[in-house]
Amino acid sequence: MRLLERDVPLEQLQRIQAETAAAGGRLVFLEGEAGIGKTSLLALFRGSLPARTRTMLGSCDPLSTPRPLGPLVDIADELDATFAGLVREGAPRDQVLGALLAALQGTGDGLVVLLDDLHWADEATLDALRFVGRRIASTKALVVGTFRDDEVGRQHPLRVVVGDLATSPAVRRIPLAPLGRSSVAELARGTDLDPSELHDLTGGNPFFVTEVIAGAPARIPATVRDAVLARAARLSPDGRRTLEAAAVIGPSVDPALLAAVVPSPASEECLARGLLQADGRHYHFRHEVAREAVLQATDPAERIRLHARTLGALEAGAERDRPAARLAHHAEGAGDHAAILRYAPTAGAEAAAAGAHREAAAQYARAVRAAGGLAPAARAELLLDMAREQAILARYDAAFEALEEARAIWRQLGDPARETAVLAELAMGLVSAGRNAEAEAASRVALDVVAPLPDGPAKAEALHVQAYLRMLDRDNADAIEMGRRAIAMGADDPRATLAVVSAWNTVGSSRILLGDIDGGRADLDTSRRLGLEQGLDRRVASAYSVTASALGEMYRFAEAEPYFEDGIRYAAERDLDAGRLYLEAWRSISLMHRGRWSEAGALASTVLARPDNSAIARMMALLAVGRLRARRGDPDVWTALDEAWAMAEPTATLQRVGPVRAARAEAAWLEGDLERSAAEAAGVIELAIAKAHPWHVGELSWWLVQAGRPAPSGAPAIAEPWRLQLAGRPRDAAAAWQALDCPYEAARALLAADEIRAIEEAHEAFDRLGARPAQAIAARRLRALGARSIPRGRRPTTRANAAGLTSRELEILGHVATGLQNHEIAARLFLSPRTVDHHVSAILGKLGVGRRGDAARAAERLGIDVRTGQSAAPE
Amino acid sequence: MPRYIVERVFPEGFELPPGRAGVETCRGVVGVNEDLGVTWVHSYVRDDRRSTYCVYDAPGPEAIRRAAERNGLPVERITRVMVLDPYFYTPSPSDGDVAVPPPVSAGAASAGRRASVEPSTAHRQNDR
Repeated sequence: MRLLERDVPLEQLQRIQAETAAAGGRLVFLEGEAGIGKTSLLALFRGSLPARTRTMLGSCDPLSTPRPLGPLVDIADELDATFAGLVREGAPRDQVLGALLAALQGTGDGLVVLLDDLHWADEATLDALRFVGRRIASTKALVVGTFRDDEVGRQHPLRVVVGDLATSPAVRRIPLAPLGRSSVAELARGTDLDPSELHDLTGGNPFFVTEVIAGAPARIPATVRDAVLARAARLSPDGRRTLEAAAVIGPSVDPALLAAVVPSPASEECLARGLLQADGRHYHFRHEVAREAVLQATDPAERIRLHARTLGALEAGAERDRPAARLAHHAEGAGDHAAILRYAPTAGAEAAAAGAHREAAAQYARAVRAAGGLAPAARAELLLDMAREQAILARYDAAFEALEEARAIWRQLGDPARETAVLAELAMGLVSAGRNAEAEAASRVALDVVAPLPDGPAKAEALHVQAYLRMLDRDNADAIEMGRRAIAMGADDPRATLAVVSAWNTVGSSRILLGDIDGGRADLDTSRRLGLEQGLDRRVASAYSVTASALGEMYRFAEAEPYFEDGIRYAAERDLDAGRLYLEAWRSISLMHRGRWSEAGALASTVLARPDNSAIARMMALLAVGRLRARRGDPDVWTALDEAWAMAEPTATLQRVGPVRAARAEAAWLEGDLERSAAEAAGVIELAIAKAHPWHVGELSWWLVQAGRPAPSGAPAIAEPWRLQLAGRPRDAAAAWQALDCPYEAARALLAADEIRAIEEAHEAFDRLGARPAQAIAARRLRALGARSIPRGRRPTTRANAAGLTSRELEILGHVATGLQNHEIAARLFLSPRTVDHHVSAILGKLGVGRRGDAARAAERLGIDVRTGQSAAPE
Repeated sequence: MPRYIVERVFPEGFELPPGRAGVETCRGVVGVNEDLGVTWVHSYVRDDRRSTYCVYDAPGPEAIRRAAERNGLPVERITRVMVLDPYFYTPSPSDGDVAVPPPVSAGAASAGRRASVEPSTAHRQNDR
């Protein structure tokens, strides 16, 4: 076989495949419009591989709701027995994906996995693709995926996955271009067709071109569909019926099934005419475009009848495998409600278990549409299942509508336990949607509904939801009390596992927020341990992020660090991106407070660059960036803080409103706008006092006092550094901040001192951090206090080294130590070579050595770290 | 993408090596910038070579600082700016015909396009 104009991409594929043995695995996307020849190229590539290469092919279904993990199910048996077993039994995602990766890693050189038509992939397959794509370099396998780029718009889930992976050096994209004029002319040779007209009308699409030529029409059809139908029109009536049945059955047609659907099928005629092709034991269309064209042209009544016959034949056991998704597809095509209700809920549950939430929601929705005659209780369960999947997909309005209906049904049936389950789902969904007030209302109703019930799982669930909401509102004592009751009530009941794990999480978080750091950490460790035992990934990730962020809210940044590190690793390994991004956003806040500004800015920027970010991660990253810009004197402070405020305000919770208001008060103060600073602080201080938050009350009081307002009366306990600052003890406050590893806050506390020495220290610390606006304030204070000279500042970080090297000299010494010549150093530092010559002489003189080769050793003996030069900031 | 002016101070004078080496130095900076989504448009160098004013397109000031660190370049001040082109200025109907605020267009110096962003105050530009 040879394909026109496909030598270049074929060679690209072959070259990449040859590299994998030495360079590690690769993922390649082969993309182009329908009919461009992706599948043909795959076949050609497959045929060109050496015989010892293990090659396998999986295809995605064009079903309205595809089978979960469809293409991977296709290859499972060939690939690996363990993986196949886990896929078949519907094992949890982690195990399935772990086994898949292990299988790819374990097979040595020469494994090629081809995944065709990824634009139809179900969500679980895309998830697996992302998982494998991120780790492909750890294998020696080549994975090639094809997709129709014209069907994958910006919002298409595959586009997000491709975009995610595209930056990896192990991932390549190969676009396939249409045929040029000369190739079309070559194909049209020996026909009466005008090659130029053929090229223009078909756009050089190889499938279209060959279809037109095979149909040998008098005029070139306007669309590829017309070309296909022109060809099909020459079939006998039996041939036509056979072709239509094949189109209904699907992209891969079992001859036995075809015979069961069409008595005495005219398969030979379809094969002879080239409308069907035989591939091993199955028939298929030459292209999916052809199947779609035939299907659309089939009389609707006939189509329904064919679906019904296909369904009947499959139920009678015409094929060994009967995936529920496929049966549900034909049931819907046949308009058979009873059959839809037999298969769609099962298909939905299977999809949900595989993590294919889009497909699960669609299957449940299909069942709900057919559930007109169903008993109310069964309908309510379907609605709950559907809403759960919709909420995961952030389709909140549809989810809430379904939950309201389900709730009304249970209410009418008088089943408070089921009604509570629905209300709990509703409340948690409303929180995710940022509608906390409505969540509170739903939670209250749940508590009323369970009140008459004995203690048990339903009550545990209602209590845990209320405890969670109290924690979010920072009503910590209530949260702890209710959370503990939920734990006690559900501890021995497997139906309450999720409620119990979540309640430990809530109680631990609230204990930390009340200052009981060790107790809270122990509870959160319990939550994490139970989550791990039960395989509740999201709860485990949540335990990490709640621990880290609660410690962060208490300014315990050093203690939070291990939770950031472990939590980010845990979430990254499982692709729990929402959890990872939230941890990263909070870590950037922590780094900012710890004076590691460059790292903080970089991390927050990566969070903000993600388009599919969860709102809370973005909000916290904006907060970090807003404070950082304000402290550095960089532009775009208010761009960040206005957006953060627009997100925080509707939540009306202290957790979000408090820190954003505080950051805005700080930024206004640094701009010298004391009125605005006070207004920001005044906007939230009452809430902070009501919730007795020692850190927010402290910071907000400080900004009010800076603007000449009185500190609020009746304030509860204030966090130690702020208390000392407000009590007029700047030195003690600075020491307290320093103990918390907050260098900027420490220097800022010193600004209130009346002694020149303290302000000079602050000035120096701000200079080290690159905190220009605060440094300028310090300089003004020094002048006001009558200081005779104000330090110039230019980063005197290395002033104190033993040899008295300047920071510039240290920087140059660093380059000398790596063996660079003076002109190379000059180019790197944008200096003239002569200037560098002078510096090097000065360095040698100060170090007392004669040759540059001795300089680095001499510096080391003096305990000078040559890497701390200005340009060598840690990456 | 927002545009910024980055002031850099070189107390010892800014210097580029002559010939190929200079070209490579510039390319090196451009390459590092690219990794961070930052574009160095061009620079003005003061006569005495003690400061430069570099025009940059970047997703935010953090990216500019990070690129500067990686390139070993100092940063004195970053300012968000917009382009005013006097030869392609046309007043909008709402401006009236006298005493209009200067029309500005965000981002690249796209000739002839009427301003789409006019900040109400200097520090409140919303470009997201």
